[in-house]
Amino acid sequence: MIFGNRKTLISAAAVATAIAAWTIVGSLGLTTSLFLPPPQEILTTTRELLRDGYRQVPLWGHILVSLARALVAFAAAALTGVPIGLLMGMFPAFHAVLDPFVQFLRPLPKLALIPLVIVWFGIGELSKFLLIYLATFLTVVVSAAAAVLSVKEGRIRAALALGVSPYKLFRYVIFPSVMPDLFTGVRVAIGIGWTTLIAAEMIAANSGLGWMVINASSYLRTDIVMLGILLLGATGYALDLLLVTVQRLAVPWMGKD
Amino acid sequence: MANLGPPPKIELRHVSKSFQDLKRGRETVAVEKFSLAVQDGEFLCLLGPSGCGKSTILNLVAGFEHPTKGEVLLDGEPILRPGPDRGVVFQEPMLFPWLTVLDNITFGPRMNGGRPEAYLSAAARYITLMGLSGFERHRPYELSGGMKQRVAIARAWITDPKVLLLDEPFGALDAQTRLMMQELLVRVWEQARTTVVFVTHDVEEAIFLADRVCLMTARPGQLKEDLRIPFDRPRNYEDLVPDKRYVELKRQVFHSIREETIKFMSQDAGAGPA
Amino acid sequence: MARTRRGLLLAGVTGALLAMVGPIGAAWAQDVPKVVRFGWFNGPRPWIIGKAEGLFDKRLGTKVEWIAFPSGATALTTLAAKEVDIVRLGSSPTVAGIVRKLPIEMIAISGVIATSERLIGKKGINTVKELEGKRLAYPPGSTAHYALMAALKVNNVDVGKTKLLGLTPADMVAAWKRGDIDAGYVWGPFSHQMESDNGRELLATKDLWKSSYFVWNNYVVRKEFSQQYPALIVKFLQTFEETANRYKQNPDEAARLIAAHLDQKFEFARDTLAGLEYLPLKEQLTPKWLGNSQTKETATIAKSMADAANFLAELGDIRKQDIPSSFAPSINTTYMEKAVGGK
Repeated sequence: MIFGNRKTLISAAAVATAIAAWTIVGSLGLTTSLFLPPPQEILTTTRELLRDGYRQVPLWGHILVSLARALVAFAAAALTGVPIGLLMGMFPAFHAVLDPFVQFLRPLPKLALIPLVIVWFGIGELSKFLLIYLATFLTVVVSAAAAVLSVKEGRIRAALALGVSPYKLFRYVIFPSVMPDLFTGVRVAIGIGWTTLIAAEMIAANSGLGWMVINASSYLRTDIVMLGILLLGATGYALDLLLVTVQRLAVPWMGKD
Repeated sequence: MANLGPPPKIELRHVSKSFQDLKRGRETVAVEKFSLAVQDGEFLCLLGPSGCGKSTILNLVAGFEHPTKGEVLLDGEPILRPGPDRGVVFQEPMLFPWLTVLDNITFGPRMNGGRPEAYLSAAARYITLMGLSGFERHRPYELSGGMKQRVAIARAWITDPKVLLLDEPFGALDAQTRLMMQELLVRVWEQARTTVVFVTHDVEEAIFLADRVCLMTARPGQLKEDLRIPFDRPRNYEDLVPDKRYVELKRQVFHSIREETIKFMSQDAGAGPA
Repeated sequence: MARTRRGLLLAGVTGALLAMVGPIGAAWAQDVPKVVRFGWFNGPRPWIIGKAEGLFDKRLGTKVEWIAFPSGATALTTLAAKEVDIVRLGSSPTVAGIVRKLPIEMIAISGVIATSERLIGKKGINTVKELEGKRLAYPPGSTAHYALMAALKVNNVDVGKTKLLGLTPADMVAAWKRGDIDAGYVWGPFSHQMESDNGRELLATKDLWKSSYFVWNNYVVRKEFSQQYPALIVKFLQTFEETANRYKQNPDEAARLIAAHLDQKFEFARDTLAGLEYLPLKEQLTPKWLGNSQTKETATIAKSMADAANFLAELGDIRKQDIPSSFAPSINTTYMEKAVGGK
């Protein structure tokens, strides 16, 4: 943390250098806009899309649509995944029942599920929601279960020796103990969920950042593809920063005990 | 057996405890046919080389583990599970990092429906005794190692347990802090006079703290020597160090424990790396 | 110091560029490359006879490597990466590629889409006009996408009132079976699957010809490749014509051969093959289609390509100002002229 400022400075310099190199390569005409549109062209594209939108939808509309899809799925995944994961961590039998399904589904590329999701749930928002939800949910479940198992035995013993009942042990000792890991788990899960956005928006979408990237690529619009990638990355990064801030406020003891 | 007077506070009768050692793929006998009685108000130190099973005995009394054979009794009743009548302090403070010092200390009474006026005044007393005044609102991660351990001791003591069990509580502290903590512990104990079982491998610590030092053999742990410590209380190191009896007692215990350590090390070498 | 550094940078950049063109440089002196890479899609087409029998390898005198693409978009990116030389491509992706200045040229039509792509509607919908207010599916960026929009326009359907859904053909069938869509414009076997599941044909691409909307498959070549091996391209076109003639002489036998090679059903191969019109190269050289070097500027195909480009620009998929004033420079009929003359 002492080097926090210096680290930020180095990071900023690295990003600036990358953009500068990109600009130089672009302005020397070393590549065509088909392969690597220079930043100037991305800026032009951004202006055009801000003015006219992309495919009848304003640019912020694409961002909002994707964010809405993702945030609804994230919230649902956290609300259902945390309790299920905690229960799995608390009760080995419950863990044994669910674990094979979770471990089977989790590493599965979510693209592979698209045909099934369409057959079962159609091509509406439900299917898009489910793909993002599933990816996020499974990661949350696994990390919540692991968090319970990693609570220090000594801390539980200390509480038991103070005479807490099983319910109070969970409510007042295990739950607060797993909070830091839960936050980390949800952060990782949201990162994974955000990457599933592209897969989700391959299902009959007319808007959204993921859809924008896929559609633009069909027409070799590398500039829009890159703009979409930049927006996807920036939005994902912003989401993570937001969570880190919440985490710092909610579990200030994280990493300090 | 005829019952003459009250039973000892803690009694272990022919206790054996073995564990499945997954690494070595065989059963390890930690303690074998161990018997010990601790009287009410006694400060007893269990001293032994590492791996002799002294922590196992503490865990049996705390109720975290159950004997494979034999009985563990508290006031003549078998111990079935952990409970607030036996306060425990571990080598690591094991505080709740999301709670303040005050909330950590009052955790036990709060969980057991204690009255706030009662536990808050008790907490105030322990905070003063333990030298934690001014740190009530601090979080554990803002404290030094010694202070954290003082909070842990206060947390265990505030429930007014019949027995206080301490498992190498100062083992992770630096030498100076350890001495300070020992003196502080004795000072508070002289007021409370709780029955204490204190596990340590530090000979000087045991002699300084205890009324009685029980020396254990290498694994499987058995009682090797049972020594009364003759020094008057209140004690302090400055008086003890030049005392001839202290020097002699220390020499004798060192000799005994050295024998057991050598035995333990050769035993361990024979069994391969742990 | 500054000079040296700039020199180093230049050297580095030149090195990188050389590395990119290296493989082509190595083949410079030869008349025939070590290998020609054809891009194809899984659909049954007459040239598959050539694939099955190794005819192209024989006629071109070199090894042919067949690269299957899942979509026109992947074919375009692979062309951009110089990983494929000759591709059979739909007219829509071809137009998109030319607009984006992909260094390719169109050398011939491989087949004009007639009945192989059709608009299938749910039972109860009888005309295209009735699609107003309905949910319509299309494979994005495909020839069927273009044909759907043309069909809606020709029939005065208010597009704003319809709900358009971009779906891959397989997903379209799944959505159809669940009742999530009311109509879809797609090729076989997907159109057949929808038709046999309570669907009916509302229109086939051929019906749009009278309104001068044409969609077709064509062969495109990387310019770099065709300029280096012009004779090979001529031979390629002659071989293609040979396979098309084989098909025309005995469609069933050709369909059987192709179906067996592609592991597809005979009926499906037969119907799909019959759904396109294979124009003799001679006919393609008339102004009714590509025209020749003198007439291509005003011939039908250059105009149709401009129409398709404007359509894509209207959708917002390409920039209006990126559309070239004429598509004729990207159409190279000289290979066809030689292929016809040389025989």
